[in-house]
Amino acid sequence: MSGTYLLQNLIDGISLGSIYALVAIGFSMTYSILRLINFAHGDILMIGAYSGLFIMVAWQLPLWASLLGAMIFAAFVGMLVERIAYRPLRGSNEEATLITSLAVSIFIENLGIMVLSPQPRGFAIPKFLTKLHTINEITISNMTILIISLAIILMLVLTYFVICTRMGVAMRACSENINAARLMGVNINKVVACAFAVGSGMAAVAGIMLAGQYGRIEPLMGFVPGLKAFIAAVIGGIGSIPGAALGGYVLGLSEILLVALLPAAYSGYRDAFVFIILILVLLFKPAGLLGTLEGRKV
Amino acid sequence: MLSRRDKLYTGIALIIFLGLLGILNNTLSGYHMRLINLIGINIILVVSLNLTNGFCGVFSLGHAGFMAVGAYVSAILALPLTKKALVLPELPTWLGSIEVNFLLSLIIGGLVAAFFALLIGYPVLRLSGHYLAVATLGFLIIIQVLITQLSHITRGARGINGLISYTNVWWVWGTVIVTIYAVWRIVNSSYGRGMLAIREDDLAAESLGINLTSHKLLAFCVGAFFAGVGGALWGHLITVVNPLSFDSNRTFNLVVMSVVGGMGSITGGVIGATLMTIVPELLRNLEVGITIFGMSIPPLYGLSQIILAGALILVIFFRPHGLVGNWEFNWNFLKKSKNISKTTQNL
Amino acid sequence: MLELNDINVYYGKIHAVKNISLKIKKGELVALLGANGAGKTTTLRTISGMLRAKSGSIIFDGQDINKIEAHKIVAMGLAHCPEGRQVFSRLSVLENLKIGAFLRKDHKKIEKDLELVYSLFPVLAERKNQSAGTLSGGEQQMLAIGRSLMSNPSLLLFDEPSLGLAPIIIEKIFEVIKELKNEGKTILLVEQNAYNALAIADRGYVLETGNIKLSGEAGDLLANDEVKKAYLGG
Repeated sequence: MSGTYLLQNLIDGISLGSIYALVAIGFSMTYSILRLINFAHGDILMIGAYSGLFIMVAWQLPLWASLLGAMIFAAFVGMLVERIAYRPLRGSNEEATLITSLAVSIFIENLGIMVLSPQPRGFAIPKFLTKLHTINEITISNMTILIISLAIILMLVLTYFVICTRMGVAMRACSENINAARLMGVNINKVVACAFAVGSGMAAVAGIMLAGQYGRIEPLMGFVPGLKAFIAAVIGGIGSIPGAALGGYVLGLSEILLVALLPAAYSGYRDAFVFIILILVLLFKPAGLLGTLEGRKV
Repeated sequence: MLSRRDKLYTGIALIIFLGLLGILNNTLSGYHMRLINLIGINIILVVSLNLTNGFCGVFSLGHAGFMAVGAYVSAILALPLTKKALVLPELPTWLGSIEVNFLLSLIIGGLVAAFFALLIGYPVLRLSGHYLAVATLGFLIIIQVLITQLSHITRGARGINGLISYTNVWWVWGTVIVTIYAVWRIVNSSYGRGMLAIREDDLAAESLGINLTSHKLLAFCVGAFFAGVGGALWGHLITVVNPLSFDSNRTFNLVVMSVVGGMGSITGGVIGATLMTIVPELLRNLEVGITIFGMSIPPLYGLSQIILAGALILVIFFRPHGLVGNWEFNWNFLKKSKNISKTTQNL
Repeated sequence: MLELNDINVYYGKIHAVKNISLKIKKGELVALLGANGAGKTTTLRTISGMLRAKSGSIIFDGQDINKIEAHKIVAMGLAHCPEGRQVFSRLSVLENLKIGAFLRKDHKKIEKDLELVYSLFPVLAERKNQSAGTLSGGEQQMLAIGRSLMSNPSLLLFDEPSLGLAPIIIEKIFEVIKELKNEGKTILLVEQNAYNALAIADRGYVLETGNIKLSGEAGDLLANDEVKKAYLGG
């Protein structure tokens, strides 16, 4: 295997990892505060992709406006889901929240099928993004550059938000001890809504990037990325934002590299590999790469 | 355990029920009999799901995976040799040259599913809550990938069609009775009490000397066995097996049935499976498009799933333990009221 | 200032607090004593809005706060310093203190209060950029107290501030609590360490299995035979 082949796959892996990282961060944020596995997070990604397409096609607006609009719309949907489905269950057992989030996911997916039709739609990205650069036999598209840099920018903004703003500090406090945060006068509902909004907005960007990469979207497109984001969050240490980002990159890279390094006949097993990685991580390093285990249970 | 009187009542009820099934079998249309069989298969699947999810507190989302294993194993084994040569020419010789009868294929299907449960359960059952749920969902996806990829055995995404429709009302409801009896015996054994203890508080159960892993594993494997058998019955009812039939939606539907009826109860499983098989069937009419008062409503694909998901959320909000909770059916209502007050006092 | 009238609190089916009534006047330091599981923490959590009383009223500054959300109660000037310190260990000492002032907008006054906390506990100033998890138990308790002062409360609830600390630090903590009282803060102090608590308190209540068993002036309680036997080891 040549060095360029490896380098090419590394770049592809980082690009895919960027998308996973964006989704995983939102997953991890809501999990860390509410101990809720939001199965619907992947479906928010789908909503982001569709609303992005709508803005570009129906309103004829440029990509940046589509990204911004999709982020806002997805943030709104995320907050709505939390308000309607998750808030009434605050404080009930794990099973109840798990089943509810599963139900919300199925609800959104089928609403998508009903309203948007189950048929995939083409997702055309602006011409300049399809342009390829070739350096030493390695090809990078503008799209890949956009994905990688956008992910980095968003993560920097998020880092600033979490470290420096009042709401960000409150969010970190809540993820550590939600009751103590309440005693400090933190309005939990606001923090949770904010976490859902931020996470959903980032998922929307990931959705548009994913759609741009594959050139098409469909109502069930979010299911597998949603699950993989969970896996990325677990690999990195669930509840930790840097962990989720790291987990996303690790997962994206290992997915691409496994397929690249194994014989072609095994490439169809990609999704199976991912879950085997998850099970291995859960068994041997349940706290993840950067996580701290809390409570008595894994 | 049952008193002699309870045994008598149960026996009479079974005879009446089977007689009724026989009459229905001769009078109802094919569509309705198929629905009755689907109800039975779903009861098998949900009652076995309740054994792990409800009684043992191991919240698994992998049930459809075990169904798939059972369905494929049974389909390949029971396919007549002539057809097998045609449909699955690439099978390894030892598989391609055997044909077993339906009963044996059901049992082997269930056993292979249970074996998979043993393989996956040993590592995964150490996890709890969310992690277990997602790991078992991962198992389901791995199974789907395997089925899609191992196309020389499974015909990949095309699925295996042309199965003989062995499944009839007697196979289904006979298995229902066996499943309910088996789960009931397990739950009322010392093993079953251990499971309930684990569900209530696993640390306390462990400190009482209950072996967590072996109890969970037993529930998981028995649940998988019946899921495999249910899947096999299902395959030979529809006469096709393909990977899409056993996806996360299938698991979700089973979880809905289980939660709506009551996860911690066999009765709940039966009621949930029955109700949640009939209701979507009625809703399905909405998906093909209907005309009311001259207004034509276009087909609304996905509507039945939307309504199911909405119903599930409402159940969780307002009746988190399902319609029956942990209650089990019994014959006390036939006894004199004096006896009833006595039993309630004893509680 | 604070008045509980016949409150009943349940944890699921457990009736944890039964018909408790108590009163704290402005500027008073009142001790709430009792053994483990007597309902002291439950009472405090109910006052600060973390739990709801099933019946009865909680009047704070003339307003019934039983149905009010916890963060609004903080805004009204009530601070609850919880049992077991519960500092945010992954946040820095300074961030912990700042989150104590989460609801305040008066930045200049916040800086002043920060200085005040640092003057009460100089060690916190030394370690302000360290994460709170690296502090010792006593330092964490100081941080927890400092953090609750940052909301500039008029009423302070302390839950077992001496729990698990070395005697020399316990002394320091009680000294600070006394100082706070002298500055005009109203304080409800929950303690198992009855002697120290009564030594600085004006009045006290003794809780037993969810009921108020005794109440009175701190000095009288200190002299009371029953209290002596049960809580003062004599």
